[in-house]
Amino acid sequence: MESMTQNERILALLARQPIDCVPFVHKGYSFCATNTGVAKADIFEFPERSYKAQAWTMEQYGAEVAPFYTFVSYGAWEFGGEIAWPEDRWSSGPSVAKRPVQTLDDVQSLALPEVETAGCLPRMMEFAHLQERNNSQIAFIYGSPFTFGANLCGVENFLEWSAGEPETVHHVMRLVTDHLKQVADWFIGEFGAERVLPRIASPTDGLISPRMYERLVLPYRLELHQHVLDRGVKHIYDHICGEQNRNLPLLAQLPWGDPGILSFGDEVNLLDAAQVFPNEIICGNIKPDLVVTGDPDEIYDACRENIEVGKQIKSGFIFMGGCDIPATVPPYHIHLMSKASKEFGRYS
Amino acid sequence: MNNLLTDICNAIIAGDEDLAAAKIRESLDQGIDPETILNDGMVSAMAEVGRLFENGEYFVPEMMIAARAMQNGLGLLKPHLVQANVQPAGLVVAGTVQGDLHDIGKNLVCLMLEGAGFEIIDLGRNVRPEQFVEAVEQHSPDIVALSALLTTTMSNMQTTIGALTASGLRGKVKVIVGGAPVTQEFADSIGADGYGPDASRAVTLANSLVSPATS
Repeated sequence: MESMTQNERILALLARQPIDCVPFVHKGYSFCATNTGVAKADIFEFPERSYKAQAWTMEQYGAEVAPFYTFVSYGAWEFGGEIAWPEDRWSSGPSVAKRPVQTLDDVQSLALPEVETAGCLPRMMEFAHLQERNNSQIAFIYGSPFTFGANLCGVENFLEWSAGEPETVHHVMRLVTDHLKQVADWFIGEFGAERVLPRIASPTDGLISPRMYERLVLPYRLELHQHVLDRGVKHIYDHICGEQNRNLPLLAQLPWGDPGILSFGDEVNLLDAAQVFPNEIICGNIKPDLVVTGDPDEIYDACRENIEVGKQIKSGFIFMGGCDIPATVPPYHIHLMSKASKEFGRYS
Repeated sequence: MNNLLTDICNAIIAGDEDLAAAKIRESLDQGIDPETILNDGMVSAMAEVGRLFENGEYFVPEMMIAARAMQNGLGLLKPHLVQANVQPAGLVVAGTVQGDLHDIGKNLVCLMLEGAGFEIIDLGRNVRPEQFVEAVEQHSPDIVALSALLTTTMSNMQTTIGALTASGLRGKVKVIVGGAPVTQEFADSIGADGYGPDASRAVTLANSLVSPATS
């Protein structure tokens, strides 16, 4: 039997106090739309529908961590490009219809956008007010700057420039970093530092070498982390997406708050991650394609193994998908994640 | 090996597009056989790039600039190769399957295959099964290369293979698959002829399929 409410459990975990069982987050953002009969585009376009779809799905599966707003192609729209809302049955989120940067010369014309009106930001603020009214954690998008730089320049361009035109990449990283600091200031100013959670996801960061990461990414990440922590933010969340084992020692140099919350792709061993980040809450990391396409018995067993490994982590553990679980996941498979977390997640 | 060929090779490995082009021009001016320039200077460079990638010494950016230097060099060499009637290693029709808008992995595979001497017909991204069928009918490739980044779209690899089977073309072409969620197990389950876990190993796979006796 659970002896804590979801809210009590998360607050205790963040306060480094004992909890009764492992918290569970399904990590199926657009699944919340299909699960509740909402169009996939709506979960990105209409904050209230998005909040409700997430809250209802959380309630259905006993999942924890409050509804949040995310935007997978962040950077392109905010810096003057165009996006397309997801319409077909395969897409999970908005895609970039027109990038603000096509060539090296375009980079020099980039300017800092107005945070209150750019791209998805007004929607993210509207969503944050819903979080405030519902007394839940107020999250805002805070990177990674390298992934957002790639979104606005095109991943191929940005990776090629990382090797051949590093000054251009520094120029973009400077702009994106300054933009994200303005976003943070806006949210902290509106709600207070103690109420907000900067959320980072870094899928493109794993495509470059640690040497390049150290030169092109780490200084900007350090600046961003320090900026919000200096302003009084307590925790930073990062989904360290994909194969980033080699970047972990570099990421360990960053301050994450007290504690930080780090989720990992299934490519990273959770106990290895816990050794590198001994003071942070570790989240993860059931293989998403297994959850989508696997046999139910196989999924259930994999969840059990994942939870049993995670429970060994002394600094705290949240059971979740290793990446976003797409909308096409059979709902029964999400039920299996929830069931496994209840059956095997109890701390003795 | 001729010093110029070594220079071409090193320039491509370093991703120095301008130097590679200059050395290719110089080699042609000196009367070096275009096929020798291709094989000893350029294909060997990309083989080394593939090795460095597999060993974790090169990452995607280094591989991309090397492949661009190779591609640019090939543009210079192509008229000479055509004139000398040099045949490509094979013909590949490539595309990211329907519903998937991601193409960096597919593009990298195309560049690496081109660097290994294959001719590429790139159908782009979000390619419907019937587009692959039309391309196979039209071009009679040796290989169809299917890419998917999303778990939601990888099932369209199976749909594409089904469309090739339904049109009676499956037996005439090898199908290889790759992309982040794809595994050897998945490739086997959908009846693909091979799985490339990365761009470098996609080249090894393609070579083994077009020249099984020598690979």
